[in-house]
Amino acid sequence: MNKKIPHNGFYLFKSCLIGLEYPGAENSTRFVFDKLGIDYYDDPRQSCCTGMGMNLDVVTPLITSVLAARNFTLANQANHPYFATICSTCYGVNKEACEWTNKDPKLFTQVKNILSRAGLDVKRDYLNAEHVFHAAEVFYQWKDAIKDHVVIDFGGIRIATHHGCHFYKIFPEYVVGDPEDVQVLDDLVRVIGAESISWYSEKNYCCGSGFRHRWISRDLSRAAAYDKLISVKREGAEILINMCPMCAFQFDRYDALLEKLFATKLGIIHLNIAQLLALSMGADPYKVVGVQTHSVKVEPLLKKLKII
Amino acid sequence: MIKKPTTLRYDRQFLKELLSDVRVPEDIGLKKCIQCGNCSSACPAARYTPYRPRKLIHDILTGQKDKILKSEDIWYCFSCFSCNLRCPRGNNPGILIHILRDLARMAGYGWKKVLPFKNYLVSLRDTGLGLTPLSTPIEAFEDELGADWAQIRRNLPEILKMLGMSSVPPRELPQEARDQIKKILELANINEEIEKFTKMEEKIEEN
Repeated sequence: MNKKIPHNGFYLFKSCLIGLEYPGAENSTRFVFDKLGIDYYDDPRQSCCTGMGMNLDVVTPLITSVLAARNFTLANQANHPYFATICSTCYGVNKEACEWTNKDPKLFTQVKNILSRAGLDVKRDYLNAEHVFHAAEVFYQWKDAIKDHVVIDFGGIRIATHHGCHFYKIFPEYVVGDPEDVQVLDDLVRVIGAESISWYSEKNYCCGSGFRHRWISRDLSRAAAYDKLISVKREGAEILINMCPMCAFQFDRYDALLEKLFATKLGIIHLNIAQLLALSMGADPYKVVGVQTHSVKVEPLLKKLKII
Repeated sequence: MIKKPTTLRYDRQFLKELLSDVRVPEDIGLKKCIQCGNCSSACPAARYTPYRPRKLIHDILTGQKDKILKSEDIWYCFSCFSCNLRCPRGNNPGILIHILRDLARMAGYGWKKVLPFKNYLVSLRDTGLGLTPLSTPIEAFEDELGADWAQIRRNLPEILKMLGMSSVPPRELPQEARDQIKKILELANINEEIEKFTKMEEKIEEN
């Protein structure tokens, strides 16, 4: 679709898993927003979206709805009504909570009563699925301005992308362009002058996390991750760009284990789109981009780009 | 030879249970399913396990509730929603799976599948954040994720400080916000949910 993305007024929607595993991705989002002069609100009061719990089948729709309504109320009261999430699941879950509370007046009244007992006044129009964006979409909206800030030459670096299932498969109707061949990240890769692989055989395939499978059915989870990564490897990609910490964890943390289990060489570098853009704009790889938390070492790339 | 006519029937009550759940979109094309199998061909679980979304929809539409709820198959879904993306009829097996898992739990079949994740609810109530279940203690995952990862996780407060972020991973909400979240979650019956897990743990231990 031809989607309308605002330029400003964002509520930076932080991800629990990013904070725990790839904090540099969160920090890089701030760096890029600051560099571009995007007006956003970084609210320490924001809670989890409950995405992990939803997909592990342990939270009720009411629990997800009350927390979404609280976050939307804080965002609206601070005049920053547009969520900019840094995780594809946060993006999908917040949209879902909007759809549920909008179509079910009984659920909305229940949520409103609960919030009012905690001193919050949620209005119906706060919960608007069209107000939920992923930071990658914000970058996309600003892509012409990004070009002016690029200081590192990514020429000749082959990059594949993985958009994260919950960004385009739950609500395909909200996706910029063709939901069966999403190019949001690929266009950003091209903007910084790198070589976008654009399409590969498993581009629309899941990272393999499967939420519960990561912890319980590990063989299943690893098989899917291997199928995904080997198809990226076959295209000669040096980097796989993600926009979701579950996917990043799956690809980056399991690299060594998958190499051992399937007797193959992977070693693809995994970066969140915000980390890639921040690096291209000259951010410090350790103090901003946080490459020291990655399992597949990013240093060979940094040396090649003459950043270190 | 002519096969015997099928005796399978549509179960009105079961369909109502599924379609009345708030998570199911009003315009879901469940009844419009033409059994084309696009969902199964896009499904990662179908590559490695006996789960087939096409078969699941067939079983739903032919009223085989008990068979579905007892089956392991509904627990193989990756929640990737590829079925939703590919379905030409607007059906969404991926969302139906979550409702079926809840029904399986209510029928007493699915508890063992969700018990390991009880801590998620406790963390959500007490911190406002959803910590990754089972990723603590770090030692439990050191073999799988490597000594490097364990070291990164142990150094995380230092790393966060270097990044200029809150030094309590993943981050720390102000006390007032935590109190507010706890109150809201308690009003949304989170304690009753946690209690269900505790009771079931005790029951399983007794047996």
